[in-house]
Amino acid sequence: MRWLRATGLLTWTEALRLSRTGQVFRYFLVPALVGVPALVLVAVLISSFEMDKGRIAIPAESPVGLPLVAALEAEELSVVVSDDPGALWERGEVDAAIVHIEAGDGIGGRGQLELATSEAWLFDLQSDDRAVSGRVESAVEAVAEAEFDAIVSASGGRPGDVRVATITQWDFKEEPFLGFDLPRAIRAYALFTMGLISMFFLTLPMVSDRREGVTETMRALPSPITAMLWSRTLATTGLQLVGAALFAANFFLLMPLLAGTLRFPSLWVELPGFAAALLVTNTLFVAVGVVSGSARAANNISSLAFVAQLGLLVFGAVGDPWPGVPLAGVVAADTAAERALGVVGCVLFAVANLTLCGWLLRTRVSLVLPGGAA
Amino acid sequence: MIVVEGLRREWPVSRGPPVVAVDDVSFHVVKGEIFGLLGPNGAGKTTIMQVLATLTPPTAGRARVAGHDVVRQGDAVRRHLGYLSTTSGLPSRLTVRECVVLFARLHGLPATVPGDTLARFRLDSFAERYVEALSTGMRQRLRIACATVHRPPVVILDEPTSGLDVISADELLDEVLALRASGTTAIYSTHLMEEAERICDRVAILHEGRIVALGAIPELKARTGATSLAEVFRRTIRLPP
Repeated sequence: MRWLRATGLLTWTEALRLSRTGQVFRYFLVPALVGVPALVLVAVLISSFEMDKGRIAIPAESPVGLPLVAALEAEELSVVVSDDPGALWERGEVDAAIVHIEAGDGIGGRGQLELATSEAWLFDLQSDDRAVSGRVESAVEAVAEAEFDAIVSASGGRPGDVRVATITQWDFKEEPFLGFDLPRAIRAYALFTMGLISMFFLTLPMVSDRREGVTETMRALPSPITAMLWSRTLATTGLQLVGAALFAANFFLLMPLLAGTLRFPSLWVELPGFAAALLVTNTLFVAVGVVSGSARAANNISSLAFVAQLGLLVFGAVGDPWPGVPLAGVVAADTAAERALGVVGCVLFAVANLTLCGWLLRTRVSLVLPGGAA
Repeated sequence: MIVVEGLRREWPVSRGPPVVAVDDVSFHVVKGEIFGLLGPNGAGKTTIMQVLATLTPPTAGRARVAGHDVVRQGDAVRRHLGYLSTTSGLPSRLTVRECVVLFARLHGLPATVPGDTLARFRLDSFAERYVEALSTGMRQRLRIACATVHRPPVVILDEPTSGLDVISADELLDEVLALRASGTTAIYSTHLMEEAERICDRVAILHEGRIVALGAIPELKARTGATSLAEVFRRTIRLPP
């Protein structure tokens, strides 16, 4: 109970100290608020220059009177007419393939205005490129619009109420991207970038506190030394989660078009594993702060911590680790059970690591480093 | 209040035998006494204080503070102790009030206590100022305020006037004397003999890790035929007068 109270109190204090650090704003909150949207906008601009690279295959026998090629070319897509568009897409020769087209019930099929909300044409699309797919969707919605609008208007209806075509099947490949499973790669990347920040918020302040005698002062208080280590870890983890939330908020607020690739529910599911993985990363950098004898040594030893962290992240992204392996297990987790095991592995590692650090501070390493301030 | 028996502390070195910082040191300090630890640099004063503050365990011997063993009952010792050394620091980017509140809360005290402490150490007008914005003297006063916010029965003060100007040092000594007046027991180390003579009831003079003289200051003067504590110090550790 005393440990919990001390940890809570010190965590609040550490959060207060961190919030008053310029580094928090320079390296964390400003990039999360400004840098990320800027990067996303740059990415959007770059992708807009690459619009003309989209290639789509369509069946050789498209329905008569359906100006599909013109509509697709109007979206700046290169159209390849093929007897087997699906095969071209499977071989990676095109970005998307319309593999089947059939007439829907639509107004043309039924001849009655009240049924006009049914589709005139149904398309089966295969694509793993969301940008190209979006342009195909625009094209098929536009196809034959003029004639259809005329029919609807002549019947006394409103053209805006009807859909002339729709894509009934979105067939995204489940194959790994460049050898990575995409969700794994995103997790690993997010954790690595957070780990880069940990050194500023954990290792260097720890070294600084030891040099200035703060650690010695805290060690002479009745609160356990591990409470101090946990408070630093938890405060930094909390801050990182705030940064991650800002990042996600930017993502969803500013880029609604991309929101379909990551969903809020999936973020909530990922949260415990993400927090646990940050805990592991942060305890690694706490350990660096404990064993380092100077800021310079901390910089050098941090490189080793980065290598260790990166190794575990890559192992999780491309390998097949046991879910309980710290960091790697969380990155690789696909099911709820694997995520839970990953969280347990991370927490156990963090507890063991900080317990060891506490023992080192009690018995082995100097509480006060040379060069302290009066 | 403080009992030290046969204390020995060795520091391991990477090559060669360990360095003996303190060897067979024994003394006791009664309630309400200011006990001075004097000695040249490297005599072992700070090591003894670190052992009493549970910052480092003794290699051999025993020490008790307020009836609690420093090795087996470290938490209890720390609850009854205020510790201040030349290397003690305070968390940066906190205000004076936040610092005192933090220390009080870590000792399990209610939030009303810090206000009392701020007034006692005349820090109330600086309460919202950041620690790093304080002068050296003010910062040292804050350190003592934090170390004694829980009104411990024992305080350990390792060269508390180091780096202070004369006025700040005088003010700090007054604070220490006020602590004694309230019944607090203190162990006090210093290089300044006048300072020790002014506030210490008894002193131990250490040399190369061992106590070479122990007693009340008048008693030591009489024993060595010296007229001042500085002279006692020189004669005891065989320095030229």
